[in-house]
Amino acid sequence: MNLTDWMHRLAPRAMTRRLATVLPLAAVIVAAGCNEKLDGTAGCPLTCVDQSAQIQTVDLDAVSSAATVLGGLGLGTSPFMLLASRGDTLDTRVIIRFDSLPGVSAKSASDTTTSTTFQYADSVYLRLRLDSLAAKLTVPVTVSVYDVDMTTGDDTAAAVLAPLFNASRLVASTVVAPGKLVDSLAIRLPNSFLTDKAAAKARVRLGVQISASASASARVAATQTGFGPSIVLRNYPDTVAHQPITLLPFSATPTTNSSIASGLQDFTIVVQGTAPPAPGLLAVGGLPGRQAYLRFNVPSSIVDSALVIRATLLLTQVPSSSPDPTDTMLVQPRLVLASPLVSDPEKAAQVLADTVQIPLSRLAALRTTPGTSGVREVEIAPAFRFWAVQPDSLLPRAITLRSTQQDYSPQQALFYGPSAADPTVRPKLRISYTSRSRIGLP
Amino acid sequence: MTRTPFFIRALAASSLAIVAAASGAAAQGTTSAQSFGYPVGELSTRALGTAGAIGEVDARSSINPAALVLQPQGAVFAQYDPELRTVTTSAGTAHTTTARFPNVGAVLPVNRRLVLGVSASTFLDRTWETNTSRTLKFAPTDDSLVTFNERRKSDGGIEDLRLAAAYAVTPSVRFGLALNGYTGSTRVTASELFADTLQYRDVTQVSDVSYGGTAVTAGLIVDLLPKLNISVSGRKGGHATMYVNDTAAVHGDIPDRYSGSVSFEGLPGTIIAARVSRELWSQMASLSASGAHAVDATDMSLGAESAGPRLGGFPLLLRAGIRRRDLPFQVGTTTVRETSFGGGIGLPIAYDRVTFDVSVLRSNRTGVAGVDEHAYNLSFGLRVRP
Repeated sequence: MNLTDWMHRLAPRAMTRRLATVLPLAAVIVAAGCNEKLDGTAGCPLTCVDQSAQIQTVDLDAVSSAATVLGGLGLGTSPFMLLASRGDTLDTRVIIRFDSLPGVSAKSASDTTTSTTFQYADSVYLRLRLDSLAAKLTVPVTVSVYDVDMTTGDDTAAAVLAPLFNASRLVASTVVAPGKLVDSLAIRLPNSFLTDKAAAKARVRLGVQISASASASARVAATQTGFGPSIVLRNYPDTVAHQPITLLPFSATPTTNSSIASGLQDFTIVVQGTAPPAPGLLAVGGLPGRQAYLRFNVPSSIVDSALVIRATLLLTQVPSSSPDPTDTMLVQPRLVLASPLVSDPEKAAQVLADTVQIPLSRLAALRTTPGTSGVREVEIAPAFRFWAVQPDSLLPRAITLRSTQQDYSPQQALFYGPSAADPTVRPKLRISYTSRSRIGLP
Repeated sequence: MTRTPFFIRALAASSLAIVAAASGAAAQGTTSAQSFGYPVGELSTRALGTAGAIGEVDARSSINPAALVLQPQGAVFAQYDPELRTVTTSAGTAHTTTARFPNVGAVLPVNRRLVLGVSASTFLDRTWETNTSRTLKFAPTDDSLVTFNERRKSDGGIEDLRLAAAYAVTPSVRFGLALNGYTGSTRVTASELFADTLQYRDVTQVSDVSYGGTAVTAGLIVDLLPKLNISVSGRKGGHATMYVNDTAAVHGDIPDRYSGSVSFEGLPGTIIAARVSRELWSQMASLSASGAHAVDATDMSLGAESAGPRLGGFPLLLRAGIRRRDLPFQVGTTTVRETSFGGGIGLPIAYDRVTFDVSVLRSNRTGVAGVDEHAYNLSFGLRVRP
């Protein structure tokens, strides 16, 4: 009798068949349950070989050139417009263009038949939407609306437009008490103002100014936000059959460039701006909006051959006399994509990485207050991701620093530039990196 | 615009020394996968069921090419070997699961005396991962140490591609010869991962390590008595090269191996075998880029396979065995010894045209003070005869 026979005495055939069915099934279940799980950290350090990355940190005078340039993409491209009256420190006003008026209306209040020309208007309001949280009103302010249409000179220049804000051109005004300013302001305009303009085939171009016995400022939402200024009116006296109509800003000039004309639907003019920086200083913010352009010369041994873990631009801030010196402002570094062929820093500072299209290019903003001083740290490590794959001849190692409220906040931060007399206050680049190495080889 | 000289005016107000605290990144995390990795053994599920004792006379194990002619039947085979490993130290316990597909091949009889075989089996498996917390002061003005995670991961190993031929000189004397090509790759990933991704940038370095080497294996199986045979085999290792990212980095040797076994088939339906193997792993040390400590290792096993209850007219095969061996790569200067015991079954399916094998080995790895490592080595094998 062999082992097989002995086994059959111990295990009947039916049991063997069941075993033959269950066993492979169990094996498959066990095998399927063996998901790979590799983390054996608990075995360290007794069973481990130290393979730490060698991380080095160096401080470099790596800013090869720097400049303060006027920022922004042009008039009318910022989301807000600043109305400010801050004595001799700041004076900004808002221009709104309504170069297209309705083509039809009732003939008169008594004759409600339709006229093919715009000759009846009632309940005319200029509606402005405001950022009520950013308003700085401590005393009652007067919001005045002027007719700033003109036919000679640069119709966007503050020097040309500012004189038009005079009593002979005053269209309407209203007084707003502190605490009464909400997110919308409606200024009643004379009904005849629009119909007279239509009759004269003239343009409606309004200038808005605030004035008060003390400093005052408020932000008006621009057309870019989708909540821009508008004129609301009735062109029929019948309030049941006809609803009020809304006129949106429209600029007919310049006729040769619709993109620029689109921006000029509404924009800010700076009659009195913040002072430009002293020589040797870099300015960020202010009005008109300035930004700092910085170009670096980083050793290729770091850019090409190392992995940058942290890169900090160390800037020494100088106290600024700009408005709101104790309020927080955000300085946003942006990666410059302009090639070296664009030698003008002002133009190069406009060709920036789009952080929406290229999220990896997003750099963290610096939070500071303009009136303070000291060393500020701007983190720019993500820029090295792009610099590592493009030579300097194609992609200069350059960034800009701009206010997150560029062109609608007067706050201006000042920093020492690379030409500062004291070398200890010049910008520096602190880089923590690890060399490319063959970590973990057997 | 202000402009300074184009080149850097001054380098490094300070070039800071590395200030490391706590622990640094570490690799392996196990006693068995040091250096080039864990020697899987190139044994089939069937042979693993006997703890490797019948490896010399098993056609599906890439040990002795002469074994191909013992059962001159065409077949293809493959197996899946997960290892459930537990490593306990004073720092804690790590439970890991490593999935391997260590053996696939075919037996191709030309006639009853000449059989060819091809197979791919895992020679060394280097799969592990560790995650170590590290703290570092990045700048002198930083107020505090920065904590980040250093992850080290290795995935892959060295494969043995074998082309073998076996010839039965007489019914009781078989001879085999094989050409072995050693290839395979390991992807090593080293990452520094930071919680604060605004200030710090995660960095990852990947090294693709690949291998190329050759060896020749010869074997002989002789029936001394009708129910007693001995088998011997040897592998002469050739040159090997380790490439890192397609660049030849280090040259070395594939280790030689000498092994033999005695098999007794005096009990009906039963084979009892004992095997001893000596592998000269120290020859492989020169292939290491990190100065691995490799030692020559002895592997001894004793086991049996027996026909159990019949199923569809064919016997269910029952196996058991015990094994003791040294692992080739030391932890520091300490040799790790592995003791395994277990068993398995072979289930005939489809009138014995298909065999489903399962084996389980319980392995204890000792030698390193303060480390308790044990594992369950499971193996699921399938052999199909056309």
